[in-house]
Amino acid sequence: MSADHNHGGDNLYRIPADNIWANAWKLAAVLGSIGLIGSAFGAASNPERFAFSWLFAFYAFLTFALGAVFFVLIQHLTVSHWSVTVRRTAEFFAAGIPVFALLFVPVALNADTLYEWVGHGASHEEGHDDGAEHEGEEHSSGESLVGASTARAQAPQEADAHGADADGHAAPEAHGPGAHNSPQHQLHGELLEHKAPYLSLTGWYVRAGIYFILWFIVAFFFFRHSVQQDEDKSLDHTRKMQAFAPAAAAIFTLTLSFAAIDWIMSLEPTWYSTIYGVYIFAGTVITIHALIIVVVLGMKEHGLIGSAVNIEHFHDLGKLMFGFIVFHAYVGFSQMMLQWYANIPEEIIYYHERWHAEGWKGVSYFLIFGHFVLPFLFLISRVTKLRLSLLSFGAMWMLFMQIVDIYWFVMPNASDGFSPHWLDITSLLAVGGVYFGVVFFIMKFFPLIPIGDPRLERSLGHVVT
Amino acid sequence: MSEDENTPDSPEDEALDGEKAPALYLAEFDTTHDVLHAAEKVRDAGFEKWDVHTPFPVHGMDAAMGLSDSKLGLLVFAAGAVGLVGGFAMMMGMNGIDYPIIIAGKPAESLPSMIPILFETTVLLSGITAVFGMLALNGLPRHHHPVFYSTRFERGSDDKFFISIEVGDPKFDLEKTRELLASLHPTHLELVEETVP
Repeated sequence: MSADHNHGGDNLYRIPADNIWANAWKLAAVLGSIGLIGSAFGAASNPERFAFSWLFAFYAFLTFALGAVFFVLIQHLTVSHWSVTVRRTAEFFAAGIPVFALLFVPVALNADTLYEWVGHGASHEEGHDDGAEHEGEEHSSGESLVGASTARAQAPQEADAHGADADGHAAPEAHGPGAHNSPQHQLHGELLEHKAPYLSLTGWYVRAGIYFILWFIVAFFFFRHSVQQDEDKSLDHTRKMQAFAPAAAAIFTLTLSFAAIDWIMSLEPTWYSTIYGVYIFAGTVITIHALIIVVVLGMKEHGLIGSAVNIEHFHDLGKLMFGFIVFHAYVGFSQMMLQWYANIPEEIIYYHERWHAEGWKGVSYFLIFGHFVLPFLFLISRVTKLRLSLLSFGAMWMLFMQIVDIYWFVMPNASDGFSPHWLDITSLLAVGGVYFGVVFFIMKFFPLIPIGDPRLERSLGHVVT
Repeated sequence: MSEDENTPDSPEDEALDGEKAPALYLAEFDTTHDVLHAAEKVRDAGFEKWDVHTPFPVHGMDAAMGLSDSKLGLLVFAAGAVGLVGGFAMMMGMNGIDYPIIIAGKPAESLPSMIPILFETTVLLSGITAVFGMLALNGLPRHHHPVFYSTRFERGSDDKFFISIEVGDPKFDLEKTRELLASLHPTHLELVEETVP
């Protein structure tokens, strides 16, 4: 098997001017502009909702870009040849990461709206009654356990027992943007003071800067060497990329985890999960495999890459996506199970908001079935993964579910119940339009396949069965 | 290929008492390319009880032999489903009905606490079915096959490629099958016989 696709000379695997992909960036730019205008109106009319919607959209698409960085890294770490022909697509999406530094500006400007911990410095005044309040809290927990047991023994209905148990804590009820005068706010105060050394606005800005700088360095290092190799075919680029990959993977892991903590987890500053970074990571990996499947199939259908990416590549991408869907569910369940079992107020509040608050239970069920159960059953068979139309549908569905997942992370903090807002859509259009516009624009200037890669030949003939 | 090599010449066979009966034709090839195309011809001739023996997996052989997807996946999926439902029934029966003990204020039959067990029973039954189902579908364990009467077949684990067509095949015919295999230009063709008690 070999590349039978030939535009001849320098145009190998490049997007011709008359191809629909040459104009893809314009479509993204138009959608992005509509989104930006809409979001600008929203920012003026409803600044608080805008802040949360924008953070949601920003982070949802950031996971696309971070997944792309990871995909490039892992291929060099594992010295894999199968993925060479699809790696350039990931490199494009990784190279779009600087855009997010600009898109981060509204988040940075609205930090005081988004994050409850902003302003909770060392000079916190509300901590006097904390001891007494804490006792009361424990007392009520104890009672609720007894109550739940009694309810269980008398009327074996899960809903009753569970309701009594959760309501007994009372803490989750009082949480939310409007609850700053409640007794729980004082408990918060104590915990926030404890976390003040990390959750300070200055530190948060500095760390954000560090994340972006490190992401630029990693993304551009791999992109630059890969496209230079297209020209000079030098093996040095491969050696350098492989040498840097382990360090870059360490940088990636740490920045991804800390960025998740800083930007999303600290929305609920008293809540914590030690597996949070892994949870986010699992989502990004599903996302990049889904994204590569969709985009590469789109390019293949318009004759841009000939047979360079064959059914075996798609099958492998599908298998990896499937594996990480299971991994994501595993991590998500592990986090939920431990916190559900311990039932500590500052931990369980997270799930309380996403289960008992109005409307969110439906979204939680939607995630359980839409992000795991149904994709699992749909993608488990090789029949589905080998039918490109079905695989591509599954991949698009997973991209959608990733956005829902981030929505579920962020938006319970924006309002007490589940209340979608048009700003969510405009923010998605704005961030997605700008990001995809830039990525599609970059695509016009480079070959879509790393034609200088020494392992290209093996990837072209990639066969598994 | 010469005529005098067409009968088994293994000394071990001579030592065995009893009548000899044809067991299979064994055609030997030098390259994956040859054996792949020969397999396609045998497939098209409509044989059922035949096989290709190669020292390593040959890409595209499944299609060349006309093999359909393994049924193992379906078996494993069914077993996993049984494990899931069985695990749920077990947990529900023990924790929800027989001994409803309240632990940490949770309802006795609460689903989250069951999920690790359901996962385990699902994986357990799937894993067992995968291993033993694979053995069963491959007809293993099997301690004897007439193909090993051929001394040339030893190189089937080294550098030669073989196609065997068994006598038990409905389309098997001593003359016609020989002609078919000979037309595929094997480097060697023999009729392997086995001792019938």
